[in-house]
Amino acid sequence: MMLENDWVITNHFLIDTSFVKKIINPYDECALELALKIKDKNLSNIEINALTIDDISADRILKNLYAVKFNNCIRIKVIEKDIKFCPFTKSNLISSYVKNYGHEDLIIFGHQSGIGDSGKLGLLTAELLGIQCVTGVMNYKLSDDNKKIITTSINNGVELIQAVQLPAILCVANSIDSYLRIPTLKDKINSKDKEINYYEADQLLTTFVEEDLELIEIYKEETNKKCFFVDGTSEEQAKFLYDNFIEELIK
Amino acid sequence: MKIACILIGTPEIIEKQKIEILNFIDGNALKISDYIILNNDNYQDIEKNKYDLFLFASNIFSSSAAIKFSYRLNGSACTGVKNIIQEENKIFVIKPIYSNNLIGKFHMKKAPYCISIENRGSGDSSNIIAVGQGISEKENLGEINKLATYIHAKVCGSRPVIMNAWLEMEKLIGVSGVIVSPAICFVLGASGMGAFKVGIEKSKKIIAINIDAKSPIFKIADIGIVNDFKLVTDDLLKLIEKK
Repeated sequence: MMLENDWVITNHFLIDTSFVKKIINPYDECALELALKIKDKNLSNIEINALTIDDISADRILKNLYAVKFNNCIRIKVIEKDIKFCPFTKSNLISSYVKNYGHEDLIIFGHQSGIGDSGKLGLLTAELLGIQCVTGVMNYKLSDDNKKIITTSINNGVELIQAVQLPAILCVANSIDSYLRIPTLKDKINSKDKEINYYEADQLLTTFVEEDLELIEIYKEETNKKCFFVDGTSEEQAKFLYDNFIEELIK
Repeated sequence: MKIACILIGTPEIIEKQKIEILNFIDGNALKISDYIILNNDNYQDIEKNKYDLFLFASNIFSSSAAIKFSYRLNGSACTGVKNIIQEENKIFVIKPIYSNNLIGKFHMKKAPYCISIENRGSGDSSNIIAVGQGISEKENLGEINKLATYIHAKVCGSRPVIMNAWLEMEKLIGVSGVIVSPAICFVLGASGMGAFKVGIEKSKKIIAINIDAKSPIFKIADIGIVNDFKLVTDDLLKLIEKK
Protein backbone atom coordinates (compact mmCIF):
# COMPACT_ATOMS: atom_id res chain seq x y z
CA MET A 1 0.00 0.00 0.00
CA MET A 2 1.32 3.42 -0.94
CA LEU A 3 0.45 6.29 1.35
CA GLU A 4 -0.51 9.80 0.21
CA ASN A 5 3.04 11.13 0.43
CA ASP A 6 4.56 8.17 -1.43
CA TRP A 7 3.13 9.30 -4.77
CA VAL A 8 6.17 11.16 -6.06
CA ILE A 9 6.15 12.08 -9.74
CA THR A 10 9.64 11.95 -11.24
CA ASN A 11 10.85 12.89 -14.73
CA HIS A 12 9.14 11.30 -17.72
CA PHE A 13 5.99 10.68 -15.65
CA LEU A 14 7.48 7.74 -13.79
CA ILE A 15 6.14 6.91 -10.36
CA ASP A 16 8.57 5.04 -8.16
CA THR A 17 6.71 2.00 -6.88
CA SER A 18 9.78 -0.21 -6.57
CA PHE A 19 9.62 -0.17 -2.75
CA VAL A 20 6.10 -1.64 -2.77
CA LYS A 21 5.54 -5.37 -3.07
CA LYS A 22 3.85 -6.11 -6.39
CA ILE A 23 0.38 -7.64 -6.21
CA ILE A 24 -2.14 -8.74 -8.83
CA ASN A 25 -4.78 -6.10 -9.50
CA PRO A 26 -8.29 -7.11 -8.32
CA TYR A 27 -9.77 -7.55 -11.81
CA ASP A 28 -6.88 -9.75 -12.94
CA GLU A 29 -7.22 -11.71 -9.71
CA CYS A 30 -10.90 -12.35 -10.53
CA ALA A 31 -9.92 -13.41 -14.07
CA LEU A 32 -7.25 -15.82 -12.78
CA GLU A 33 -9.52 -17.42 -10.18
CA LEU A 34 -12.37 -17.81 -12.67
CA ALA A 35 -9.95 -19.54 -15.05
CA LEU A 36 -8.97 -21.95 -12.27
CA LYS A 37 -12.64 -22.63 -11.48
CA ILE A 38 -13.33 -23.60 -15.09
CA LYS A 39 -10.34 -25.94 -14.95
CA ASP A 40 -11.69 -27.46 -11.71
CA LYS A 41 -14.90 -28.39 -13.53
CA ASN A 42 -13.27 -29.80 -16.67
CA LEU A 43 -10.09 -31.14 -15.15
CA SER A 44 -8.72 -33.36 -17.88
CA ASN A 45 -9.18 -31.40 -21.06
CA ILE A 46 -8.48 -27.79 -20.14
CA GLU A 47 -5.09 -26.17 -20.13
CA ILE A 48 -4.81 -22.73 -18.59
CA ASN A 49 -1.95 -20.32 -19.18
CA ALA A 50 -1.17 -17.04 -17.44
CA LEU A 51 0.51 -14.24 -19.37
CA THR A 52 1.88 -10.90 -18.26
CA ILE A 53 3.91 -8.13 -19.87
CA ASP A 54 6.31 -6.93 -17.24
CA ASP A 55 9.81 -6.90 -15.85
CA ILE A 56 11.47 -9.53 -13.65
CA SER A 57 9.52 -8.40 -10.58
CA ALA A 58 6.47 -10.26 -11.96
CA ASP A 59 8.24 -13.65 -11.85
CA ARG A 60 7.45 -14.18 -8.15
CA ILE A 61 3.74 -13.85 -8.96
CA LEU A 62 3.98 -16.17 -11.97
CA LYS A 63 5.75 -18.83 -9.88
CA ASN A 64 2.85 -18.64 -7.46
CA LEU A 65 0.42 -19.21 -10.34
CA TYR A 66 2.21 -22.47 -11.17
CA ALA A 67 1.61 -23.51 -7.57
CA VAL A 68 -2.16 -22.94 -7.93
CA LYS A 69 -2.11 -25.21 -11.02
CA PHE A 70 -1.73 -22.97 -14.04
CA ASN A 71 -0.22 -25.10 -16.81
CA ASN A 72 2.05 -22.47 -18.34
CA CYS A 73 3.18 -19.06 -17.17
CA ILE A 74 4.43 -16.62 -19.76
CA ARG A 75 6.16 -13.28 -19.39
CA ILE A 76 6.69 -10.94 -22.29
CA LYS A 77 9.80 -9.00 -21.43
CA VAL A 78 9.74 -5.27 -21.91
CA ILE A 79 12.95 -3.66 -20.77
CA GLU A 80 13.65 -0.37 -22.48
CA LYS A 81 10.28 1.23 -23.02
CA ASP A 82 7.79 2.02 -20.30
CA ILE A 83 4.48 0.80 -21.73
CA LYS A 84 2.18 1.39 -18.78
CA PHE A 85 0.11 3.79 -20.87
CA CYS A 86 0.45 1.97 -24.20
CA PRO A 87 -2.59 -0.31 -24.63
CA PHE A 88 -2.08 -0.57 -28.41
CA THR A 89 1.47 -1.86 -27.94
CA LYS A 90 0.35 -4.32 -25.27
CA SER A 91 -2.61 -5.64 -27.27
CA ASN A 92 -0.37 -6.07 -30.33
CA LEU A 93 2.10 -8.05 -28.19
CA ILE A 94 -0.65 -10.27 -26.79
CA SER A 95 -2.35 -10.87 -30.14
CA SER A 96 1.00 -11.69 -31.74
CA TYR A 97 1.72 -14.20 -28.95
CA VAL A 98 -1.73 -15.82 -29.34
CA LYS A 99 -1.48 -15.98 -33.15
CA ASN A 100 2.05 -17.33 -33.31
CA TYR A 101 2.57 -19.35 -30.14
CA GLY A 102 -0.32 -19.80 -27.71
CA HIS A 103 -3.35 -20.40 -29.98
CA GLU A 104 -5.63 -20.14 -26.93
CA ASP A 105 -9.39 -20.64 -27.50
CA LEU A 106 -10.44 -18.37 -24.70
CA ILE A 107 -8.55 -15.27 -23.55
CA ILE A 108 -9.58 -13.72 -20.27
CA PHE A 109 -8.57 -10.20 -19.26
CA GLY A 110 -9.17 -8.26 -16.08
CA HIS A 111 -11.46 -5.36 -16.94
CA GLN A 112 -8.82 -2.69 -16.36
CA SER A 113 -5.49 -2.18 -14.66
CA GLY A 114 -5.15 0.20 -11.78
CA ILE A 115 -2.33 2.16 -13.38
CA GLY A 116 -3.41 3.07 -16.90
CA ASP A 117 -7.07 2.24 -16.31
CA SER A 118 -7.71 2.34 -20.08
CA GLY A 119 -10.12 -0.62 -20.20
CA LYS A 120 -8.90 -1.11 -23.78
CA LEU A 121 -6.69 -4.17 -23.79
CA GLY A 122 -9.28 -6.92 -24.22
CA LEU A 123 -11.28 -5.03 -26.83
CA LEU A 124 -8.23 -4.06 -28.89
CA THR A 125 -6.83 -7.59 -28.75
CA ALA A 126 -10.20 -8.91 -29.95
CA GLU A 127 -10.20 -6.45 -32.85
CA LEU A 128 -6.64 -7.47 -33.79
CA LEU A 129 -7.49 -11.18 -33.64
CA GLY A 130 -10.88 -10.70 -35.32
CA ILE A 131 -12.80 -12.46 -32.56
CA GLN A 132 -15.67 -11.50 -30.26
CA CYS A 133 -15.14 -9.77 -26.94
CA VAL A 134 -17.58 -9.66 -24.02
CA THR A 135 -16.99 -6.97 -21.39
CA GLY A 136 -18.27 -6.59 -17.84
CA VAL A 137 -18.25 -10.36 -17.31
CA MET A 138 -19.09 -11.50 -13.77
CA ASN A 139 -19.14 -15.22 -14.38
CA TYR A 140 -19.00 -17.75 -17.20
CA LYS A 141 -19.15 -21.43 -18.01
CA LEU A 142 -18.43 -23.61 -21.01
CA SER A 143 -21.31 -24.99 -23.04
CA ASP A 144 -21.78 -28.77 -22.91
CA ASP A 145 -20.03 -29.24 -26.27
CA ASN A 146 -17.13 -26.97 -25.19
CA LYS A 147 -17.61 -24.83 -28.33
CA LYS A 148 -19.24 -21.83 -26.72
CA ILE A 149 -18.70 -19.77 -23.62
CA ILE A 150 -21.79 -18.65 -21.72
CA THR A 151 -21.21 -15.37 -19.94
CA THR A 152 -23.10 -13.40 -17.31
CA SER A 153 -22.56 -9.66 -17.18
CA ILE A 154 -24.33 -6.78 -15.48
CA ASN A 155 -24.87 -3.29 -16.87
CA ASN A 156 -26.87 -0.65 -15.00
CA GLY A 157 -28.53 -3.36 -12.92
CA VAL A 158 -29.56 -5.43 -15.97
CA GLU A 159 -28.19 -8.98 -16.09
CA LEU A 160 -27.18 -10.14 -19.54
CA ILE A 161 -26.49 -13.78 -20.41
CA GLN A 162 -24.78 -14.43 -23.74
CA ALA A 163 -23.46 -17.50 -25.54
CA VAL A 164 -20.37 -16.69 -27.57
CA GLN A 165 -18.61 -18.91 -30.09
CA LEU A 166 -14.99 -19.75 -29.27
CA PRO A 167 -12.37 -18.42 -29.78
CA ALA A 168 -13.40 -15.38 -27.79
CA ILE A 169 -12.17 -12.79 -25.33
CA LEU A 170 -13.76 -12.02 -21.97
CA CYS A 171 -13.06 -8.98 -19.83
CA VAL A 172 -13.86 -9.80 -16.23
CA ALA A 173 -15.19 -7.02 -14.02
CA ASN A 174 -16.64 -7.65 -10.57
CA SER A 175 -17.08 -11.21 -9.52
CA ILE A 176 -18.12 -12.34 -6.07
CA ASP A 177 -15.93 -14.66 -4.08
CA SER A 178 -13.09 -14.56 -6.56
CA TYR A 179 -9.95 -14.04 -4.52
CA LEU A 180 -7.13 -16.03 -6.02
CA ARG A 181 -6.75 -19.27 -4.07
CA ILE A 182 -3.69 -19.74 -1.88
CA PRO A 183 -1.36 -22.62 -2.80
CA THR A 184 -0.47 -25.28 -0.28
CA LEU A 185 3.15 -25.64 0.77
CA LYS A 186 3.20 -29.02 -1.01
CA ASP A 187 2.01 -27.42 -4.26
CA LYS A 188 4.63 -24.72 -3.90
CA ILE A 189 7.41 -27.27 -3.48
CA ASN A 190 6.12 -29.38 -6.35
CA SER A 191 5.98 -26.44 -8.74
CA LYS A 192 9.21 -24.71 -7.76
CA ASP A 193 11.19 -26.05 -10.71
CA LYS A 194 8.64 -25.12 -13.36
CA GLU A 195 10.14 -22.64 -15.77
CA ILE A 196 8.48 -19.40 -16.82
CA ASN A 197 8.29 -19.09 -20.61
CA TYR A 198 9.84 -15.83 -21.73
CA TYR A 199 9.26 -13.93 -24.96
CA GLU A 200 11.08 -10.80 -26.03
CA ALA A 201 8.87 -7.92 -27.13
CA ASP A 202 11.01 -7.56 -30.27
CA GLN A 203 10.35 -11.20 -31.10
CA LEU A 204 6.59 -10.58 -31.09
CA LEU A 205 6.47 -7.08 -32.53
CA THR A 206 8.57 -6.17 -35.50
CA THR A 207 6.90 -2.90 -36.44
CA PHE A 208 6.30 0.29 -34.48
CA VAL A 209 2.83 0.56 -32.97
CA GLU A 210 1.31 4.01 -32.70
CA GLU A 211 -0.78 4.81 -29.64
CA ASP A 212 -3.93 6.93 -29.91
CA LEU A 213 -3.24 8.81 -26.69
CA GLU A 214 -0.14 10.49 -25.36
CA LEU A 215 0.28 11.13 -21.65
CA ILE A 216 1.55 14.68 -21.32
CA GLU A 217 1.12 15.48 -17.64
CA ILE A 218 0.61 13.76 -14.28
CA TYR A 219 -0.40 15.59 -11.14
CA LYS A 220 -1.96 15.09 -7.74
CA GLU A 221 -5.37 16.52 -7.09
CA GLU A 222 -5.01 18.49 -3.90
CA THR A 223 -7.83 18.63 -1.39
CA ASN A 224 -8.13 21.48 1.06
CA LYS A 225 -10.03 19.42 3.56
CA LYS A 226 -8.90 19.45 7.15
CA CYS A 227 -10.21 16.66 9.30
CA PHE A 228 -11.54 17.57 12.75
CA PHE A 229 -10.58 14.77 15.15
CA VAL A 230 -12.88 13.92 18.02
CA ASP A 231 -10.80 12.94 21.02
CA GLY A 232 -11.82 11.17 24.21
CA THR A 233 -13.26 7.81 25.15
CA SER A 234 -15.63 5.88 22.86
CA GLU A 235 -18.54 7.14 25.01
CA GLU A 236 -17.44 10.75 24.53
CA GLN A 237 -16.90 10.22 20.82
CA ALA A 238 -20.34 8.60 20.44
CA LYS A 239 -21.89 11.49 22.40
CA PHE A 240 -20.27 13.99 20.03
CA LEU A 241 -21.68 12.15 16.99
CA TYR A 242 -25.10 11.84 18.62
CA ASP A 243 -25.36 15.52 19.57
CA ASN A 244 -24.04 16.88 16.28
CA PHE A 245 -25.44 14.49 13.66
CA ILE A 246 -27.40 11.45 14.83
CA GLU A 247 -30.10 13.17 16.88
CA GLU A 248 -31.16 15.12 13.79
CA LEU A 249 -31.14 12.00 11.61
CA ILE A 250 -33.32 9.81 13.85
CA LYS A 251 -36.13 12.36 14.06
CA MET B 1 -16.85 20.62 -33.85
CA LYS B 2 -19.57 18.12 -34.70
CA ILE B 3 -20.44 16.05 -31.63
CA ALA B 4 -22.68 12.99 -31.37
CA CYS B 5 -23.83 11.49 -28.14
CA ILE B 6 -24.14 7.69 -28.45
CA LEU B 7 -26.71 6.02 -26.19
CA ILE B 8 -26.94 2.26 -25.67
CA GLY B 9 -29.52 0.06 -23.94
CA THR B 10 -33.12 -0.03 -22.82
CA PRO B 11 -35.23 3.22 -22.80
CA GLU B 12 -34.82 3.61 -19.03
CA ILE B 13 -31.04 3.21 -19.20
CA ILE B 14 -30.83 5.55 -22.18
CA GLU B 15 -32.62 8.30 -20.26
CA LYS B 16 -30.11 7.91 -17.41
CA GLN B 17 -27.22 8.11 -19.88
CA LYS B 18 -28.64 11.27 -21.42
CA ILE B 19 -28.87 12.96 -18.01
CA GLU B 20 -25.36 11.82 -17.14
CA ILE B 21 -23.94 13.27 -20.37
CA LEU B 22 -25.91 16.52 -20.03
CA ASN B 23 -24.48 16.97 -16.53
CA PHE B 24 -21.01 16.32 -17.93
CA ILE B 25 -21.20 18.83 -20.78
CA ASP B 26 -22.54 21.41 -18.36
CA GLY B 27 -18.98 21.85 -17.11
CA ASN B 28 -17.39 21.57 -20.57
CA ALA B 29 -17.86 24.04 -23.44
CA LEU B 30 -19.34 21.40 -25.72
CA LYS B 31 -22.45 21.51 -27.86
CA ILE B 32 -24.00 18.20 -28.87
CA SER B 33 -25.21 18.03 -32.50
CA ASP B 34 -27.08 14.72 -32.29
CA TYR B 35 -28.24 12.14 -29.79
CA ILE B 36 -28.10 8.69 -31.38
CA ILE B 37 -29.47 5.48 -29.93
CA LEU B 38 -27.13 2.75 -31.15
CA ASN B 39 -28.80 -0.30 -32.65
CA ASN B 40 -27.84 -3.13 -34.98
CA ASP B 41 -28.59 -1.12 -38.13
CA ASN B 42 -27.35 2.43 -37.72
CA TYR B 43 -23.59 2.09 -37.29
CA GLN B 44 -22.90 2.80 -40.98
CA ASP B 45 -25.09 5.91 -40.94
CA ILE B 46 -23.17 7.16 -37.92
CA GLU B 47 -19.90 6.53 -39.76
CA LYS B 48 -21.09 8.44 -42.84
CA ASN B 49 -21.98 11.52 -40.80
CA LYS B 50 -18.33 12.31 -40.07
CA TYR B 51 -18.56 13.38 -36.47
CA ASP B 52 -15.47 14.86 -34.80
CA LEU B 53 -16.30 13.66 -31.32
CA PHE B 54 -18.46 10.88 -29.91
CA LEU B 55 -19.56 11.08 -26.28
CA PHE B 56 -20.53 7.92 -24.41
CA ALA B 57 -21.91 7.39 -20.89
CA SER B 58 -19.80 5.95 -18.08
CA ASN B 59 -21.09 2.37 -17.86
CA ILE B 60 -19.00 -0.58 -19.04
CA PHE B 61 -20.93 -1.24 -22.26
CA SER B 62 -20.79 2.41 -23.33
CA SER B 63 -17.05 2.58 -22.55
CA SER B 64 -16.53 -0.62 -24.56
CA ALA B 65 -18.44 0.89 -27.48
CA ALA B 66 -16.22 4.01 -27.33
CA ILE B 67 -13.12 1.84 -27.70
CA LYS B 68 -14.62 -0.21 -30.56
CA PHE B 69 -15.77 2.95 -32.36
CA SER B 70 -12.32 4.52 -32.20
CA TYR B 71 -10.60 1.37 -33.46
CA ARG B 72 -12.98 0.92 -36.38
CA LEU B 73 -13.00 4.64 -37.29
CA ASN B 74 -9.24 4.94 -36.82
CA GLY B 75 -9.66 7.60 -34.15
CA SER B 76 -8.68 7.87 -30.47
CA ALA B 77 -10.49 6.64 -27.39
CA CYS B 78 -10.37 7.51 -23.73
CA THR B 79 -12.64 6.15 -20.98
CA GLY B 80 -13.55 7.55 -17.56
CA VAL B 81 -12.87 11.14 -18.63
CA LYS B 82 -13.29 13.90 -16.04
CA ASN B 83 -12.84 16.81 -18.38
CA ILE B 84 -12.27 17.66 -22.05
CA ILE B 85 -9.99 20.55 -22.98
CA GLN B 86 -9.70 22.13 -26.44
CA GLU B 87 -6.42 23.99 -26.97
CA GLU B 88 -4.98 25.16 -30.31
CA ASN B 89 -7.17 22.77 -32.31
CA LYS B 90 -6.06 19.89 -30.14
CA ILE B 91 -8.15 17.76 -27.80
CA PHE B 92 -6.87 16.90 -24.35
CA VAL B 93 -8.63 14.80 -21.74
CA ILE B 94 -8.22 14.60 -17.99
CA LYS B 95 -8.74 11.29 -16.22
CA PRO B 96 -7.72 9.54 -13.00
CA ILE B 97 -4.82 7.10 -13.22
CA TYR B 98 -2.83 4.97 -10.77
CA SER B 99 -6.02 3.70 -9.09
CA ASN B 100 -7.33 7.24 -8.69
CA ASN B 101 -4.31 8.38 -6.73
CA LEU B 102 -3.15 10.69 -9.53
CA ILE B 103 -4.61 12.59 -12.46
CA GLY B 104 -3.33 12.28 -16.04
CA LYS B 105 -3.65 14.72 -18.91
CA PHE B 106 -3.66 12.98 -22.30
CA HIS B 107 -3.44 14.32 -25.82
CA MET B 108 -5.90 12.54 -28.11
CA LYS B 109 -3.98 12.25 -31.34
CA LYS B 110 -6.58 11.45 -33.97
CA ALA B 111 -10.20 12.34 -34.70
CA PRO B 112 -12.83 11.09 -34.29
CA TYR B 113 -12.38 11.37 -30.54
CA CYS B 114 -14.39 8.68 -28.73
CA ILE B 115 -14.82 9.58 -25.10
CA SER B 116 -16.69 7.87 -22.31
CA ILE B 117 -17.21 10.07 -19.30
CA GLU B 118 -16.42 9.40 -15.64
CA ASN B 119 -19.08 8.00 -13.37
CA ARG B 120 -20.27 10.91 -11.23
CA GLY B 121 -22.73 8.98 -9.13
CA SER B 122 -26.37 8.08 -9.08
CA GLY B 123 -27.66 11.31 -7.56
CA ASP B 124 -29.27 9.27 -4.76
CA SER B 125 -28.88 11.46 -1.68
CA SER B 126 -29.72 8.88 1.02
CA ASN B 127 -27.23 8.88 3.86
CA ILE B 128 -24.66 6.10 3.69
CA ILE B 129 -22.73 3.90 6.08
CA ALA B 130 -19.74 2.66 4.07
CA VAL B 131 -17.87 -0.23 5.64
CA GLY B 132 -14.42 -1.57 4.90
CA GLN B 133 -12.48 -4.71 5.69
CA GLY B 134 -11.66 -3.17 9.08
CA ILE B 135 -15.05 -4.27 10.37
CA SER B 136 -13.26 -7.63 10.60
CA GLU B 137 -16.16 -10.04 10.12
CA LYS B 138 -19.61 -10.31 8.58
CA GLU B 139 -21.24 -10.71 12.00
CA ASN B 140 -20.37 -7.10 12.82
CA LEU B 141 -22.77 -5.98 10.11
CA GLY B 142 -25.65 -6.79 12.47
CA GLU B 143 -24.98 -3.75 14.68
CA ILE B 144 -24.15 -1.61 11.66
CA ASN B 145 -27.46 -2.48 9.98
CA LYS B 146 -29.24 -1.63 13.23
CA LEU B 147 -27.58 1.78 13.30
CA ALA B 148 -28.43 2.27 9.62
CA THR B 149 -32.11 1.58 10.32
CA TYR B 150 -32.18 4.17 13.12
CA ILE B 151 -30.57 6.90 11.01
CA HIS B 152 -32.32 5.93 7.73
CA ALA B 153 -29.04 5.20 5.96
CA LYS B 154 -28.01 2.61 3.39
CA VAL B 155 -25.11 0.26 4.11
CA CYS B 156 -22.51 -0.11 1.36
CA GLY B 157 -19.06 -1.70 1.29
CA SER B 158 -15.58 -1.41 -0.12
CA ARG B 159 -14.30 -3.94 -2.63
CA PRO B 160 -12.81 -6.40 -0.04
CA VAL B 161 -16.15 -6.45 1.81
CA ILE B 162 -18.03 -7.32 -1.38
CA MET B 163 -15.44 -9.88 -2.51
CA ASN B 164 -15.80 -11.58 0.89
CA ALA B 165 -19.54 -11.75 0.13
CA TRP B 166 -20.36 -9.84 3.34
CA LEU B 167 -22.59 -7.54 1.26
CA GLU B 168 -24.27 -7.87 -2.13
CA MET B 169 -22.49 -6.80 -5.33
CA GLU B 170 -24.83 -3.84 -5.95
CA LYS B 171 -23.61 -2.36 -2.66
CA LEU B 172 -20.04 -2.06 -3.89
CA ILE B 173 -18.86 1.50 -3.44
CA GLY B 174 -16.01 2.94 -5.46
CA VAL B 175 -14.68 3.29 -8.96
CA SER B 176 -16.06 -0.05 -10.10
CA GLY B 177 -19.29 0.20 -8.14
CA VAL B 178 -21.59 3.01 -7.09
CA ILE B 179 -20.51 6.58 -6.53
CA VAL B 180 -22.57 8.27 -3.84
CA SER B 181 -23.18 11.88 -2.91
CA PRO B 182 -25.15 11.84 0.36
CA ALA B 183 -25.44 14.61 2.93
CA ILE B 184 -23.59 12.40 5.42
CA CYS B 185 -21.39 9.40 4.74
CA PHE B 186 -20.18 7.40 7.75
CA VAL B 187 -17.08 5.37 6.95
CA LEU B 188 -16.33 2.48 9.29
CA GLY B 189 -13.13 0.49 9.04
CA ALA B 190 -12.24 1.51 5.48
CA SER B 191 -8.76 2.80 4.78
CA GLY B 192 -9.86 5.17 2.03
CA MET B 193 -7.57 4.04 -0.77
CA GLY B 194 -7.98 5.54 -4.25
CA ALA B 195 -10.65 3.30 -5.77
CA PHE B 196 -12.89 3.50 -2.68
CA LYS B 197 -12.23 7.21 -2.16
CA VAL B 198 -13.76 8.00 -5.55
CA GLY B 199 -17.00 6.39 -4.41
CA ILE B 200 -17.54 8.65 -1.41
CA GLU B 201 -15.61 11.86 -2.02
CA LYS B 202 -18.66 13.70 -3.38
CA SER B 203 -20.43 13.31 -0.02
CA LYS B 204 -21.19 16.63 1.65
CA LYS B 205 -19.85 15.42 5.00
CA ILE B 206 -17.63 12.40 5.64
CA ILE B 207 -17.41 11.02 9.18
CA ALA B 208 -14.70 8.38 9.46
CA ILE B 209 -14.01 5.94 12.27
CA ASN B 210 -10.77 4.01 11.93
CA ILE B 211 -8.37 2.54 14.43
CA ASP B 212 -5.34 3.71 12.43
CA ALA B 213 -4.64 7.42 12.88
CA LYS B 214 -2.51 7.41 9.71
CA SER B 215 -5.24 5.92 7.54
CA PRO B 216 -5.73 7.85 4.25
CA ILE B 217 -9.44 8.09 4.99
CA PHE B 218 -8.70 11.00 7.34
CA LYS B 219 -7.31 12.98 4.38
CA ILE B 220 -10.79 13.21 2.91
CA ALA B 221 -12.89 13.07 6.10
CA ASP B 222 -14.47 16.12 7.73
CA ILE B 223 -14.84 14.44 11.11
CA GLY B 224 -12.38 11.78 12.26
CA ILE B 225 -12.54 9.36 15.17
CA VAL B 226 -9.48 7.25 15.87
CA ASN B 227 -10.90 4.24 17.66
CA ASP B 228 -12.32 0.75 17.20
CA PHE B 229 -15.52 1.32 15.23
CA LYS B 230 -17.29 -1.34 17.30
CA LEU B 231 -16.78 0.50 20.58
CA VAL B 232 -18.10 3.74 19.13
CA THR B 233 -21.11 2.22 17.34
CA ASP B 234 -22.04 0.19 20.45
CA ASP B 235 -22.01 3.37 22.54
CA LEU B 236 -23.92 5.21 19.85
CA LEU B 237 -26.61 2.51 19.76
CA LYS B 238 -26.90 2.66 23.56
CA LEU B 239 -27.43 6.43 23.36
CA ILE B 240 -30.04 6.10 20.59
CA GLU B 241 -31.93 3.33 22.38
CA LYS B 242 -31.86 5.23 25.70
CA LYS B 243 -33.56 8.24 24.11
